[in-house]
Amino acid sequence: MRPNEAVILLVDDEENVCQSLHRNLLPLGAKVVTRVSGNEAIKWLRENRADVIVADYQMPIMDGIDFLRQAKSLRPEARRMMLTGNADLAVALTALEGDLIERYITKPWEADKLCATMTQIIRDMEK
Amino acid sequence: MKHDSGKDKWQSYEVALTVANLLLLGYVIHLLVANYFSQRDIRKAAEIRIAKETERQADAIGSFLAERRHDIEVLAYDQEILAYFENKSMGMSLKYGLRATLEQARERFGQILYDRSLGGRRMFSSLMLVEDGGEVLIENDELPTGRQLENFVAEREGGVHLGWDPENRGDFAYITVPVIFKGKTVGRIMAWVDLAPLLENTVKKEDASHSRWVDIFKCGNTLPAGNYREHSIPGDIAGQESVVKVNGERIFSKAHIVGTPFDFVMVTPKKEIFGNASPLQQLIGVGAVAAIFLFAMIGLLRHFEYKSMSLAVQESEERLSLALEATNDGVWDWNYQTGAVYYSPRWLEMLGYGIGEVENNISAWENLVHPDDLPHVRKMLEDHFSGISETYESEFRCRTKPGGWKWILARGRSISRDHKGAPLRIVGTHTDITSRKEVETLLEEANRDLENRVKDRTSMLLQSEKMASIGQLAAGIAHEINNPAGFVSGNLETLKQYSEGLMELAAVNDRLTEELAAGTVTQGKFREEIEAVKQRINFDFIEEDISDLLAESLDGMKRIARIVTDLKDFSHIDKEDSVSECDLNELIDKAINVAWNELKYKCVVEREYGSLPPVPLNGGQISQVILNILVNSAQAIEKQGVIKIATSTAAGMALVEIADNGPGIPEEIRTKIFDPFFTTKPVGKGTGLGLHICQKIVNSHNGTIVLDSTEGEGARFSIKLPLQRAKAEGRKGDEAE
Repeated sequence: MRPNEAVILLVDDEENVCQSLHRNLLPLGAKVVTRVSGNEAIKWLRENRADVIVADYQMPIMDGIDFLRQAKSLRPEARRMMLTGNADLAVALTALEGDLIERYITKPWEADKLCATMTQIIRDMEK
Repeated sequence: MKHDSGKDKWQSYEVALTVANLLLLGYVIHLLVANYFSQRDIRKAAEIRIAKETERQADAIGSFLAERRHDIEVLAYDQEILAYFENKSMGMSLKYGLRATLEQARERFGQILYDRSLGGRRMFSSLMLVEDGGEVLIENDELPTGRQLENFVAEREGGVHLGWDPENRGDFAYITVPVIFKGKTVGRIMAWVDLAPLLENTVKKEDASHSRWVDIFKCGNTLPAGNYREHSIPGDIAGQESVVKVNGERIFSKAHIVGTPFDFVMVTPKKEIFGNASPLQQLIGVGAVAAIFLFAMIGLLRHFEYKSMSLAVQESEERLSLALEATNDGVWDWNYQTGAVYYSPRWLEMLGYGIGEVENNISAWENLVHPDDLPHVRKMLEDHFSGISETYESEFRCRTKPGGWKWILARGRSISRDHKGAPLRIVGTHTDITSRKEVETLLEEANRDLENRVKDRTSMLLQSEKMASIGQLAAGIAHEINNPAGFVSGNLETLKQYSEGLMELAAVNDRLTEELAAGTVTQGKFREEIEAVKQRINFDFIEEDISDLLAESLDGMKRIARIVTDLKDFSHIDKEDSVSECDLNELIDKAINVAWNELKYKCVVEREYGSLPPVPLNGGQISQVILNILVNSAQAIEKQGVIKIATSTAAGMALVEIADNGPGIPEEIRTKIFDPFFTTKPVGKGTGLGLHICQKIVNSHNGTIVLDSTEGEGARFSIKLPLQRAKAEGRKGDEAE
């Protein structure tokens, strides 16, 4: 799949983080959708296709793990990543082992690496 | 002490004694039971022996009777008797040879009758030869009394018969044998065997002193009374072939006499076999003896014990009087009415005086007592005289002859009083407690030193607990910083791209402007190229987004700066007494910021701040208290909750109320939450010091911290802090509300 055909869903309770990530991903030309809670993101996922889902771990009400678990059963074909602070690395590793995510991104992140990773993931996907 | 140990010894001795008695009792019971069973076994053996004996006797009687039958059978084939019948059949008449033949036969009968004897008595009572027609040919001796010969002849036809005397009295056995000549029964021999000598002989053979009796019964019958039959036979043994039965005072044993229709019965008085007592009676008897022995033994031991105890008491009394004599105390004896006092040599020696160096009156003593101690000593004496205290006791310093002071413990008691209850005579002792007092002083000093050290440690503990709570918050604080740091750095990278695009646009613009001036490019071409670059770098989007990007980034940077400042304020290592005028509301805000990551996902924080004057407090410590309570409340809330923070002033105090709508604190632990090391959190999650230290901090500000909680409705902490700086002396006044 070409990056400009992909749909990326970003979920973080902090709008600013979503915006910043969105900006960083602009060069890919992909369609980027942002949501500020797990519930909203799930609602959107029910009606829309996402190729890559990126979710923050620390979120109120529904945390990243809960959200990704639901997202996995809803859209098993989508690739999943998690955003975490360094303090939550243990959680990310557990999620990784449990096949809930395939990569994690620590905050603060590097935009270049993020774009490169994302491009690679999308290119690996079949159309 | 010695008396007590003696008592202990006695107690242990008593325990040993009881155990020994129990063991003895157990052994006696064991013996009794064993005896009972062995008695039973002996009885069984005796019964078997009696049964065997009865059988043996029956066999003996059986063979005796068989021998008698054989006697008669032999007689029936005797040549002399057969000769009689031969001669008669040949027609010999009685008048001639036949009578002689008969006489010879009678001789044969006589031989049997008189030869066979037992114990000096004839075995056969009577022998008869009766011809087939009923005529009695030989009649040796008479028939036993009352027997009618016709009865026998009519009844006893056929073969050899051993049976009961048809009169059925049991005195005689009756034997009848046919005499057969040339295949024809020509007559019969009838014999009565007297059973009396036989039975007598049987009993005699046993033991002359026996009161046992024996008898022969017709099978299945009981017998009528006779010489040996003064006892009736129990009905239930009549039908049995051989049996031993104890019935009342007698043992009945019975055996069948083989080859006869008779049973042999032996009746033995029970006591001859078993003795006078039954096993149960024996058991009771032996038990009684054992019990008497036991009681006697216990009584004896009690007696010895009592003797030793009274000896011990006597000894201890003696020892006590010896101790009194040997006491190291000084003795005084005060006549209250006259004021004269006797001071013992030891009393004087204790203070360094010789005999006669202290006047024998009460004021001499009062002069020696330290003036500071005297009022107290007088009061103690008054208390005793007025009956408030049963004995007089006081500690005071006394001047010694060399001029030093000794600590004295005085004890005493009025031993006689007048009819109004006023004391007449008071007797007591002086004990030198100087060394004890010195140790006490040392201890007090050590205690004071310890208290100071505890104080130092406490302030260290305060600091370390604060650091511990920061440690617990560290993850949340890191997240609070990582988030803005993340998006700011992300934005900056985007900004870098934007600026590259903008730079490119500027460069193209510069070049085209020069070319336009040189006339190498047209106005139209200029616009076209600029537009192309703008398209490529997405200029419209950058233009629109760049101000947002900058605003968001600046906001993020401010957040980071604020957290770092608050944290720095919070963790500032305070000097213990660094109290300054603080804005309490601002302090609370800072604490909320530090704890924000713990709070924001759990609850909504509502602030109801009243206007507060500057409050004198240790900012670092109070923000630690607020933070601690906030974090506790957030942890208590299970899902979404509300934490309400209100500030106000009342009665010279600043009031901070922090209330949550969590599950509340159960009543049973409500009083414990301020205790040190009390925690409901799992091991490693809380030190259990948080609220304890909060209370210490608030108290050190002369304030109070109070918990209100209703289970299921939440908890509320109310902190009151004085608005006026506490003065060293005026604390109590400030605290009053």
